[in-house]
Amino acid sequence: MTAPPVLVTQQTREAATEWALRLEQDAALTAAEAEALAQWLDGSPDRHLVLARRREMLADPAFRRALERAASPARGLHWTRPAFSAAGLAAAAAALIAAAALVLAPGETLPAPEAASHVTTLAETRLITLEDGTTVQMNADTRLTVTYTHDQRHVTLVQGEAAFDVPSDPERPFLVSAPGFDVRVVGTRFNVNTTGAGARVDVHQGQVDVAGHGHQARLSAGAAALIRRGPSGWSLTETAASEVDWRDGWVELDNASLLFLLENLNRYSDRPYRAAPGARTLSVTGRFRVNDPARTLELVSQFFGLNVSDQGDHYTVAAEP
Amino acid sequence: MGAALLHAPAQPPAPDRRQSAADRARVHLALVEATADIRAFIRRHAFCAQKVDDIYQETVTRVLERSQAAHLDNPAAYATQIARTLCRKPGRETPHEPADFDLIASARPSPEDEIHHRRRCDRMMDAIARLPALRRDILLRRRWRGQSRADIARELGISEETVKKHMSRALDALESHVGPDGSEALR
Repeated sequence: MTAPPVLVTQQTREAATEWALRLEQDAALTAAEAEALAQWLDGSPDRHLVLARRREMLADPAFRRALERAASPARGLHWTRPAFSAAGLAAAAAALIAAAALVLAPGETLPAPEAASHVTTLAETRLITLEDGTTVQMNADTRLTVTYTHDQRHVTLVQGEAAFDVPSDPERPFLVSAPGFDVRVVGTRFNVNTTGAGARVDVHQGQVDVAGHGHQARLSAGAAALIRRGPSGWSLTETAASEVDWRDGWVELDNASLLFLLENLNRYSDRPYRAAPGARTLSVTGRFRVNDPARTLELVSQFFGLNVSDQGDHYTVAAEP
Repeated sequence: MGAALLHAPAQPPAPDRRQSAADRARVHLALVEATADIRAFIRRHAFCAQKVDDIYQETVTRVLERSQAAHLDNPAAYATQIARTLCRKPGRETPHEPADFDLIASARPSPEDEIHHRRRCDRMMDAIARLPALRRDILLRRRWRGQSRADIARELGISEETVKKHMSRALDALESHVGPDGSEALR
């Protein structure tokens, strides 16, 4: 295996960085610069390689894109998705969102400068361990930030789903803020799944308080809360905690909307599935395999009489005519 | 003028050919200019994606060695020739030739390329988010806002040398977190 920069001195890497930055400018090297560069390269045989890798990094489209996203503070760390775009909102619903945003205000504070962010991409899951021993299993396509202060442990689940195992510390409560609601715990095991079409919190051990959209509930082990948007506004329904979850490769749904199912499947699909207007409110119940979207949708389509069509950059799921 | 120095007609080679500093500089600069092409060539032909850096390093070394013994009219072309030989798997007669459809397919990014790009980008963002605040600030100022080293040093009240260190360490961190572009490993 090659790992040249490991053996390369800091000075060499610094010089390579400066030369790489200089070389990508439009202006040609002056004669003096060209001579200096040649002299530097002649100093050690590995310098061509270090310089080449630096230049590749600077030219990498992924690097540029990441910088662009990191440079715009509104993106990346916070509410990255328009919260409910998937639901295709009517104008009336917009007012409701505005009202919801007011309710959200406490959980919406920007992460402190020390906030660490963690990201998983499509079909990638990850286990992270926080400084207090809390473990967080992140499902695919999930983004969260962690801010620990002396009197609070705060995780913002910006999007996606995560399972938490939190050691008890009554002096330092653990708070999960997700779009639309907060989960406050002392120490417990629970899973939070948030999508544009609603959210679900399952408690496996201990006790948690869920609050948002003007509702709140205290959940004990074995209980779950469904946070859903219906025609008359947001509702919070208690139900039994699911025995299985994404960590086993499943999602268990109890009268959930097709949208909610699709958002769960989309975490594992390179092209998103979108529900056609008529199919959005269809409610689905049962256990579904989440990490094999194509197979799951084949079964769901047969059962509900749906059609999945390939639209190039996405799939549309519609009711059969 | 230095330019005149660089492009001065080569002295008639002495029998034992002692390479002039100017000729040595010319070879180095030709290699720098052709870096992207040489590395792209190696990526396409290497028998193993992990060997790209090794082969590149060896190519450069051999070109420089050769230029001491004989005048190279076109160092970049000579480098490609060397790279072609080095890309052969030990014991194999012919270099690995990519199938034509690979080349055609790579004209347009495939869905795999796009996922690969997205993942890479997310990893980069993750690495950027993990940088110490000052280092991240310097990276963004220099790379995103295009500020000069001197301007950044002045605005932040630190030395230019410190700006240079932070910039380099930031790229080190990204490189080790994300790794070299492994798109060839996907193919």
